[in-house]
Amino acid sequence: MEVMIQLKVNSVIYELKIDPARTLLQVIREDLRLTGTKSGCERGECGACTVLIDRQAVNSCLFPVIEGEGKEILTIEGLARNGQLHPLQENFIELGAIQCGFCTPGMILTAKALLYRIPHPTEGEVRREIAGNYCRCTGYDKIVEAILAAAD
Amino acid sequence: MEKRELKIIGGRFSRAEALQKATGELKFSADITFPHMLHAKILRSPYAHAIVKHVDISKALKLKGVRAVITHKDVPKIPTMHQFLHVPSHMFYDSFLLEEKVRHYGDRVAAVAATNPDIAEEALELIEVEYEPLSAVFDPLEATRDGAPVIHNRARRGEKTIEIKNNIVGVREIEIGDVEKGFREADLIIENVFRTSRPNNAPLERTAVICVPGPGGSLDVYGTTQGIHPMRMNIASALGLPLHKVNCHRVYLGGSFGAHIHTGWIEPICAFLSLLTGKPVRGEKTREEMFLSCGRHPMVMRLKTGIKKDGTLMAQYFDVIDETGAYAVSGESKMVLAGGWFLSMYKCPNMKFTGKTVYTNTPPLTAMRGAGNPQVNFAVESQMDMIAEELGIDPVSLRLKNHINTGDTFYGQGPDVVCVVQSCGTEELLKRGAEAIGWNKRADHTTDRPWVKRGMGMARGFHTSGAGSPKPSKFILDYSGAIVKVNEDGTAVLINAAADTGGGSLSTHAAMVAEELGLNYEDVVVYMGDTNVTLFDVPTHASRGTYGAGLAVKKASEKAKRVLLKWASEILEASVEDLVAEKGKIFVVGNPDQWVSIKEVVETAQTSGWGSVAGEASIRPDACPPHFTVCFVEVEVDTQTGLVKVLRAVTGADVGTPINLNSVEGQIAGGLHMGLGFALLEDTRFDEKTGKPLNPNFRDYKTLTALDMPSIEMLIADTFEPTGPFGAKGVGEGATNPVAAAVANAAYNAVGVRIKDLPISFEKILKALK
Repeated sequence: MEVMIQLKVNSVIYELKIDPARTLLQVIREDLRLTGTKSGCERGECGACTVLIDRQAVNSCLFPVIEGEGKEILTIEGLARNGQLHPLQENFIELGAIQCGFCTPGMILTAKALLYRIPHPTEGEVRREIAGNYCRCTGYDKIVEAILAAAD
Repeated sequence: MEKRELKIIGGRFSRAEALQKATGELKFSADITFPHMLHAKILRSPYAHAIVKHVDISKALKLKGVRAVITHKDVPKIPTMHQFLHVPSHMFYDSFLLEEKVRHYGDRVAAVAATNPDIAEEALELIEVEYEPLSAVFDPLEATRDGAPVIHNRARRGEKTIEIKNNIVGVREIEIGDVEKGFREADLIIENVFRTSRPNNAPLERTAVICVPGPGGSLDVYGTTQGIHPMRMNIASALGLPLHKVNCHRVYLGGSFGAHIHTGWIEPICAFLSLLTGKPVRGEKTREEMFLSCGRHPMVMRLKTGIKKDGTLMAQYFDVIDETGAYAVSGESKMVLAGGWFLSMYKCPNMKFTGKTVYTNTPPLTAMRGAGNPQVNFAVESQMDMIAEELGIDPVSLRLKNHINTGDTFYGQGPDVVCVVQSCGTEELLKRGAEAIGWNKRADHTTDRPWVKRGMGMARGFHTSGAGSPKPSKFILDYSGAIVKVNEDGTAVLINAAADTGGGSLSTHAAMVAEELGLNYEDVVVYMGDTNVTLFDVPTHASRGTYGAGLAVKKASEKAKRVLLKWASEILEASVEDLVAEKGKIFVVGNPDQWVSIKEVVETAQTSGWGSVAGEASIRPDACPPHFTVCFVEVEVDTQTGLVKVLRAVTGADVGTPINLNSVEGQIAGGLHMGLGFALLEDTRFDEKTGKPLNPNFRDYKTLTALDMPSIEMLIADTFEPTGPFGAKGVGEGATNPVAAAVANAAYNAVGVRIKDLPISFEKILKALK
């Protein structure tokens, strides 16, 4: 039984007719064709699907899409403004914090949520915040460095 | 190859594709879609060992949205090929696309293609299967006993059918010198049995593939693979298709660590379904299926070492029982590789290796970062530590005395791939590493809590850079091709088939093109390409991206450059020998005002009808230079909980010329992370009775998070590899190999507990402390 919902993603309002049982991740990737948000485990255990909902980091693979109505949803595609990269993106690129890149969108958005709350975090605060973001390539060092550099 | 002044290589630069990854623009295999795409799902066995007596697909076929349901009856009776890496006479085949007999929990019984994944999932539940369960065996030692359940009766090696007895895939025996004599001459003999665990590659990307049928029975494939050419050969072979009808497209991977050297079953299954239905078919493994499709071979290793009082090695005997799971995707090669790594660790006049690869009713294992070396290193480096203590010699000194060095023999892929070491930074790394960690302070175990003890441990290791050798190997292929062309706007295009799984190989290749042609790094385009336009390349494995694939890129660039210089010499009216290319211009040496831009050269060539600038090369490396590594760790062991916390790590690598320091450091840190996981946490577990996986998800399969990682200090040795492109070697696997032994040695130093089977869990520490 499909329903009509309205989603605001990256400041764009979408009118969608969808199965209400679907997750936000599925709708973002399949209906909106925004594939920057990744699906790593479908169980909320890896953080690859992280998006921001009203400035809070959320595992979109566990988030029912209908709960997204009336909220500000931000995906990785919405981070750069008018071709200008966000400092997090710039620092990730510059400091070699991107290897395979699969965890990158989730990591960057998780970091953004942290910086909203704590504009100048300590290394410990950064590590705690990204403890729910799995990375298999980097050992996390350069990611932490990039987040701290973006905070400055 | 002589050293020369480099403009781009050797520094730090941002990777070409990093921008697209940071914005989410870059598409991985799972991000690619086609109109009218169908979704494939595989029905998997709930039994670890059973005969598939009957499959009733009628109800599944009736479900709205289902377009095809296939079982073993419908697929070609062609044994499937998995790893196009071995010479054809050596290739191992022991499976079909779908099985009549299932050999592990999760083995493939049937497949469905439907209009959406939920319908496909529902269809699986409507397939009725009658199984005849068989008794199963999960332990490799049990599996070889007479009377154990027979997992495979026969297999194929090349064109020959071979009988499989006692679940043994293959055996190997090598002896150098006379070990019995060597043991007699030793002052001390030490013997131990070590066991390693079963970690999963666990890349964040889940394997995905789309097969798109085209005109004339052709097929386009986009999928997660470390080798588009091997994937093409595997799919064509499994389906009985002419090779040229299959075209595999290169896609960036989200990690792999060996999981995609081989082509599995999902790719040819989707290919078959797409040809059957005439529609694109997409398959994507769930995370649980990822835990069923790859992993490091557990090894039971017996190591006997004979050594003189002064620390000189006299004899070593190493026996390996290598477990491969229910299918041997690469035959017995991991065991054979283990033999080669063992022979390459230390100088010893008398060495013997025996090994066997064994089937068990568990999901098939594959390559995983290090391919036998992490296992071997754990045994050898733990034992060296024990020897050092017994003899009263400093562990670092013992390594310095005995390590394989420049001029020694090195076995790059088992005993058949042999070369001579031409660069070695081990001594420098050991000395600098000991200094950096504070090795002379390791007798002090006190911390601010009396029940927590501090300790330090170290290990050294290496890995190969590719599988090259002076003569072509009898069992493994190792060559790469590349094409470089220059556009009319002075930019260059790199056309090759090497894979980038995250290590940065393609941006490294772009840097090589830029360095060689005298372009700015930003002016090199990496074309994704496919099997139609690229030259053959083997899977990008064995840390060969920079070295093996890089050699072809450099050669192709050199050829393109020769064409450029010849035409520039005509435009500038100067001799080719007097020309140098830099930053997009070609100068006359000593005459800075006499130059022409590369853009102008190519434009002139076009308008004058001289032709195009291009170069191609296909290179079989004639060496496999090892990259050497060390790992020093400082740990805290809590004697109340048994928990081992790694506080600091000093890791070093000898990579020859580092092409991009960011990438080298990234690999070292990533290798450390995976090595620490192997040491302390990572293991896939199975129910003892049913063989059902107990932790096929990220909640229960533990890896180190950002909070668990130690502080890392990195050392890069100052060496130059004469056979390498710009003097470079690999780094990806060497970075992980010595970590587990370093941690085991540190735990021993802290609390006197020697753990010989991985992982070093807190239960084992507590038990040993009692």
